[in-house]
Amino acid sequence: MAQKTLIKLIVGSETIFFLALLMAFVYFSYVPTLNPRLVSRLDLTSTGLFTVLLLSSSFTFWRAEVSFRRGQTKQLRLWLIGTVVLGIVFLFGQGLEYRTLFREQLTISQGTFTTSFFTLTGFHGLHVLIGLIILSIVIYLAFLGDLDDPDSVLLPSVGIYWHFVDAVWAVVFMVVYVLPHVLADSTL
Amino acid sequence: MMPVMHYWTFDLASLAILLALGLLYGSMAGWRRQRGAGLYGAGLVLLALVQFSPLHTLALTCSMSAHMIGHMLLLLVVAPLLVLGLPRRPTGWSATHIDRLSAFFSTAPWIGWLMGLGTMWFWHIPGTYRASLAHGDTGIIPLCTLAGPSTDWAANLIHLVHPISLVMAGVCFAWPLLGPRPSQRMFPLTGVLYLFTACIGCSLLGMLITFAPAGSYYPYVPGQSYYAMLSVLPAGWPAEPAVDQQMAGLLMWVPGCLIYLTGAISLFIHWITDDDEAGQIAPVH
Amino acid sequence: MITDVELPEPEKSLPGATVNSDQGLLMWISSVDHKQIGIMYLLMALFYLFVGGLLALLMRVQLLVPNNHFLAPDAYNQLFTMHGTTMIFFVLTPAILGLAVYLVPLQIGANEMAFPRLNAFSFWISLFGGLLLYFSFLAGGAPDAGWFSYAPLNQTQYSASPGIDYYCIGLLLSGIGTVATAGNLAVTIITLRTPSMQYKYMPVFVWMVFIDSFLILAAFPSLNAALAMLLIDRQLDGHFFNTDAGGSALLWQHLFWLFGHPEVYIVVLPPFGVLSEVFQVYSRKPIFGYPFVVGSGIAISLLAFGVWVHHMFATGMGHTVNSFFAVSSMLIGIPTGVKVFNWLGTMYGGSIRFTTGMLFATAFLVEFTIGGLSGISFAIVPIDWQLTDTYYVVAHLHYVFLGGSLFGLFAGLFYWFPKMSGRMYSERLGNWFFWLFVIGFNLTFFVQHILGIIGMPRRVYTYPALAGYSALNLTSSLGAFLMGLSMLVFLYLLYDALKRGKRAGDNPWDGYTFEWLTSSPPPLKNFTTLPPVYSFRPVHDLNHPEIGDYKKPDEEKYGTKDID
Repeated sequence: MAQKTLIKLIVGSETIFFLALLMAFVYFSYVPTLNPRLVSRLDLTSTGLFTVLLLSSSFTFWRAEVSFRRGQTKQLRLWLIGTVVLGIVFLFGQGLEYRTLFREQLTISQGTFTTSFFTLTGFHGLHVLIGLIILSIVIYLAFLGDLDDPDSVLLPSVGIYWHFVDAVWAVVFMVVYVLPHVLADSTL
Repeated sequence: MMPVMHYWTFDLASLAILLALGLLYGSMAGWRRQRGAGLYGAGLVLLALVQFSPLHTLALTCSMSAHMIGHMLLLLVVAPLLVLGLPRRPTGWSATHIDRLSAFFSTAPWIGWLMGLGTMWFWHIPGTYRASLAHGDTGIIPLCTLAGPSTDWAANLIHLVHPISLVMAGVCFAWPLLGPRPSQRMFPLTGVLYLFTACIGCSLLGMLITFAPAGSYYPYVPGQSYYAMLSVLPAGWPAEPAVDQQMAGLLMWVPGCLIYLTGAISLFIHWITDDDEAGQIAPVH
Repeated sequence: MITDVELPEPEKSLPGATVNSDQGLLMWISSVDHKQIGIMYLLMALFYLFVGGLLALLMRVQLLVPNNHFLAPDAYNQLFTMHGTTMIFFVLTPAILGLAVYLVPLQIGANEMAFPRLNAFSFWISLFGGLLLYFSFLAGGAPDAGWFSYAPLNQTQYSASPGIDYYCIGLLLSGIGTVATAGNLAVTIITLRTPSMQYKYMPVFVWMVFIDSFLILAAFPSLNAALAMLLIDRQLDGHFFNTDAGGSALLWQHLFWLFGHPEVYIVVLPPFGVLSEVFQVYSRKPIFGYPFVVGSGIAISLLAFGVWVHHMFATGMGHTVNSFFAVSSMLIGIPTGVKVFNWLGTMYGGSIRFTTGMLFATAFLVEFTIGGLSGISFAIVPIDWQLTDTYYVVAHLHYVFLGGSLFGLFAGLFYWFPKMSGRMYSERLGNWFFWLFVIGFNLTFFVQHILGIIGMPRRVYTYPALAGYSALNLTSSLGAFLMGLSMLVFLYLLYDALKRGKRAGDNPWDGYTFEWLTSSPPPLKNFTTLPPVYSFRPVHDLNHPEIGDYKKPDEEKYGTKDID
């Protein structure tokens, strides 16, 4: 109970942190006019694919929680491993995207767009990484048998954080990748 | 009287909505006057004012701030008044519906939150915002038309959906806090948090509108003013598009937040001065 | 008839139960006990109060006479920056957290915080954040762009020394600690109240800490985001706030004041709670209008997020923006005024004991009202334009932070000193300290209102010998020395009380809340049994069963009934 409340409070606090970063991004990339780089340089398709993978990790985690409540230890471990794999693939995709941008000389010091872009997506990536570390510990504990007790609040607490990280990405993806395309099409 | 006060509009669709809401109350209350009828009536009167008064004309033709005041009144004043005024002892068919709705919102209050915020944000996407305004077909005086100032039925449909959706969303938003089943209401301290987070969401939108480049929201063709509305505005009225847009954003940001805040405080004071041991707020006076 | 109920044993034994007092310093360093951490927080605040005060005295020496060359301009810049940063982040914030961490579990009838180890972590990371900030003096120069570090002055081209990098990291670390403690306190209050303590029976101090926790959770992330962005600007050559490369100086101001204005309420709400306790106990009356004291606290915290733009009236955002925020800023005066009347109403008709704590509380009413009124004057945009960046602002903010927060904290410190130390302090020394401090404070800062009105700009290392400037600055400096002297009296008072003070009983003031039920100082395990709670004055109900609050109807209990 206490753990879950604390995680909820921290997640609420983090929401405002990301809102601040997001507002900075919007300020630099949408004002006064839409930054054309948003549409031309960012790859909607491949990032969209990795987004689907990250969001489906929320599904696998949910399945893990269900198996946890039912006491199915084997399925629990499998779903957890699946979640971690999906998270790693997402981070790998982010790395690929960064590498492409760096090759085009779009580094963090190139301009206000890249500064705010890398800060926003980078901080999200950091949160995914933290989530992966936590999940790895959870898997380790699951293999030790610490999660056999269905009253443990560990998994639900971690879940709140992991779903939050995914939700943040959904918003970031909409604002950074999808919305510019919609706006660019509508003005054409 | 200022000349702008003469520009009342009247349309059958709004009248139909008002009538329907009135009849709904009647059938729910078993055609008897129950406690709270006054609040419900006040909500209806305010709804009528938003739809018929010069505010509506201004909102449709030349003033984004007037448009915003309309939104806030519908979402944050009319809807809560309607919810508060719902009969305490509903009869017949309505009792089960009210019970079902209350049970639904007590298990998933966040849906009400999302409806309220989502609808507000939705109508301020520049595209949808534009759609909810008057269009090129000038010359049609909306007196006694079916709905809205356009000859295009799709545009008129949006005019019809626009206020209805705001009131509906407001009802969903207010239900978990003020619903007619006090035992199913949200714990008041959670309610304070519910209103506070909604206030942040609204402030964000207000901020965006305030600081968005002038013109992103201004669909009224410069230099052209429907029904010559601009000329009847009182002196000193902020008619320039940039100021108007800023004012609209600020209206949502500052007074909008104050409405949430007033709600939060009254929720709190009602709860703490109430002796009811269940920790729920007092039945509405 | 009130009968005690057994406090449920925690599932696991209290952490730290194996450490005992023979272990000296180790007992403190390794402690996860909320009382020891609370005291360490307070000691940290006291330490930084002396450091920050010393910086202020150096500045006042520099301003003693016109055209003085005691300090070079760049040294002066570093001093006022470090003074402001220290006082806000490393004195007031840890002091309120210290009091909260010490008292909240005691007042709600719990034996520990919800997360004792997290509590210790938060304290240490805050302490090290402060040390890191001060390390900048050795690393090539302290931050020198003011406590709010305005862009673009915070960029490398204007501030090349690593000071601002230390500022970012120091504040980020202590900010993480503060957010963690806030979460910890909120969870403690939600989950660990003794079963019969409903929310509406919580002491006002607990209420204020509860509200404050949410305020911290909502406000600090904005600062943390701004600091992270600034660090990216400086270390990775980013362009958030670098106006030469398309960055926005206003973005920094928005993010900073989105945090900065609520921060004012963060450091003033818990002192409001402290004062509510102090006024009722020393007036021997329940707080007048409990629902309104708490409700206005909620109102203040909600309004806090709708007024920050008034710090930016002079940035040219236009009349429309300014007028809206002028109005909303004036609204803040309403809930604050409500509170002042609640406290006056508490004193009215009470049999008041003017102990040192009560003296500070009473002085607070005067000083904070002055600070509030000068604050309202800033809500009037033309006056703000005239007075912004003058000493009038300096006077205003010191009346709010010192006359408001610090006076409240001193009131609480004297009120709870017997509980924390088990000793009574000398009222005679307390009186000396109080009068020296109050006179020194008003000498220092009241004249700065006038200095501001006649146009002396703040943050300039010296001033010309214009009419009025010299005499007023001299007065101000003398006042500052008087405050410095009074702090020495305070130190002696602490020493004297700990060395020679009489033993304090469990409840020397006839206090109302649970902390007075346990021994002074409280044992590691605060309580084994507790009486059930029927009102917001449970100990009063227990000690005076014939007039217990629980027998009265609400309107009488809350003091909202008309007196015939």
